[in-house]
Amino acid sequence: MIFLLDDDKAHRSLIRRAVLKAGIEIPFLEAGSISEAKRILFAEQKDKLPALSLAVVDLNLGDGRGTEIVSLLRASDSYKHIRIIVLSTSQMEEDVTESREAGADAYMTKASDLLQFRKEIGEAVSNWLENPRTE
Amino acid sequence: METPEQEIETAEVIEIIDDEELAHPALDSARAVLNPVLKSPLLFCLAFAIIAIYTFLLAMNASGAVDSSSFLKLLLFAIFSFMLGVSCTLYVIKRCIHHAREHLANLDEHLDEASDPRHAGEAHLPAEAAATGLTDFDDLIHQMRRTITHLLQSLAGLGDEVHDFVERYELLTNNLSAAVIIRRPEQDVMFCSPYTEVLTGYSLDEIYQGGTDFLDELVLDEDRARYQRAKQICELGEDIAVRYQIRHRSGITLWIETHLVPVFGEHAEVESILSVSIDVTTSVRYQQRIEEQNRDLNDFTYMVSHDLKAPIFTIKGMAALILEDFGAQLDAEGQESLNHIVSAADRLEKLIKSVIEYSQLSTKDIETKEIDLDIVIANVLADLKQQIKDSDAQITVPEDLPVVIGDELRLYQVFSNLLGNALKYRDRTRVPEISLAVRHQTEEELVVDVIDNGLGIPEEKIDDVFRPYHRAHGNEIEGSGVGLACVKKILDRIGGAVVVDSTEGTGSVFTVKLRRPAAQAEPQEETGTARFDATTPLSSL
Repeated sequence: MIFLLDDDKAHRSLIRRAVLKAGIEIPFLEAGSISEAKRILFAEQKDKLPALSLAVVDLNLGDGRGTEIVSLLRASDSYKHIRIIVLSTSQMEEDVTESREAGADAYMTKASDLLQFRKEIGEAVSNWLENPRTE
Repeated sequence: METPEQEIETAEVIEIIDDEELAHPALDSARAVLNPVLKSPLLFCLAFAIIAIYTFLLAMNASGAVDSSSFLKLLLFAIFSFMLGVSCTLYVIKRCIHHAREHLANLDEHLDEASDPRHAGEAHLPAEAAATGLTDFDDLIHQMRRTITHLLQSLAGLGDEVHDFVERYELLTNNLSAAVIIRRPEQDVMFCSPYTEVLTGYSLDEIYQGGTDFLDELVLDEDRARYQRAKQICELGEDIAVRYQIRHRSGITLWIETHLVPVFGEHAEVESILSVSIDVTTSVRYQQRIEEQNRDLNDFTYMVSHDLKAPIFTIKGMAALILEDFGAQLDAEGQESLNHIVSAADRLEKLIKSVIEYSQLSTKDIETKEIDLDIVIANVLADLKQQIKDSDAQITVPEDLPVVIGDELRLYQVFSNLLGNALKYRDRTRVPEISLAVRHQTEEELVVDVIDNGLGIPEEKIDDVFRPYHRAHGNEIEGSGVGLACVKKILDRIGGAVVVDSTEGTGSVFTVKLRRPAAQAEPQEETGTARFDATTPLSSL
């Protein structure tokens, strides 16, 4: 399952459809804010935790930075092995550095060319799904 | 040697001495010495002459009454008296000359001390005369008269200059918008210009009484250590400037810039410290405001880069999905409308990109190193291949371009913009001819021209071409309006320069100056952050 965190509903829709159009059939677990993400990911009952293989996280969210969730995922026993892609419209180096330091595996910009975006996200998702973290 | 003629010269000396208008201390002492000596020979001479004549007349008168031996005695006595008078006169004249000489030597010393160096040449007695001794009394008197006249003239001139100097000094210190303070390294304030009252709010009396400690107390605690350090450095003999805040008597805080200059004594020790302080509050506040605005600009850039791009991503993505999924169901008009949405979003995206690019050039550091310009130009031409082909342009580029100092990506931007513009603003009535030519090359710099035969820039717009969002050809040709502004900014940042010469209807020449490895290093702040491509997976870095 892919965990998708983005505060823009239209973006979530575009990402979901792009992955699907790239030929990857996988269920999505979505959140629109950091607080919602925490609620979903860190629910009290252990058995209710979703089985994730990849997280796609937007950087600028209404209630904070996506890197907060990246750090939480990396620090958590349940999720530290999943692959994390930070996906943002920003191309600023500071954001790339921030994401890397928080523990993201990749940083992708939201290419406004739909076909280009579809290609990139498809490649990234299949690449990281096939190469789970080993450490 | 001394003859009765001496009387005339002696009279001349007396004339000078008696001239009441020639007043000077040196001359007064000359008077005291010369008056008795110069005037007494006349009296002596006169007295002895009268005695001699009287005795002779007495002898003649009594010649009938006395015997011949008595007459002879009286005659001899008269002759003896006359000769004694003449001898005494000659002796006194000798003394007079001796005193005059001594006094001239004395006057010479006075001249050395008192006369301005500029007048020294004319005012001094000839050294030769002083050394060899004066043999000609006439010359001596003449020299003396000239010397005294020059001396008095010099003194009068010196007096005027001193007066002017004092006037200028007062004009300066009273009106200078700077506090000039001279103080000893220990405690006391030796001098304090009137503006110090304005700068501190305290009266000069209070400052003189309070001394150095009083002035130091005005410095705000947070800046005191810095201020004291500067003072210590100055006390060791170095000039230094320091900026700090003081508390004005009214309670307000002022930013002060002080230049401290050591004043050395005879044995090269720091005798006192001269400080010149000015109020820089306005400029410091201005600088702080600019820094604040720069921070705002950074925040704005970030906002633009994220918040404005997000809706574009949605608009373009959704429009493309509609075209893909429902294109077949739309009629031609519907498809055209969707295409308009996409192209408008494209334009907006490019504009945002250019804004970010330009603002980042102002705030981000550029690391410079040696770059092979040949490779940069080859990359630019490779990327412009399609435009060159479409416009049938003839491009000429020199073969061996040298290594320059810069940043590869930024230099690419410079030449991509210049060559791209040459293609974009071509004159469609003729074949575009574009060339890159080396104008001047040394070990320290390279100057290249980018020459085209395009539309050229209207004269009234040429001053604005390097300003952002000022477009010489309006919107008829697509462009963001920051291309040349970026070129200029990049070159400014890497120590280069760009100028343009253009004639509308004929073409343009953009002249670019770049630094070469032998050039002195441009001060650039080093950044420790590694650079990486935003789309590269982080794990591969």
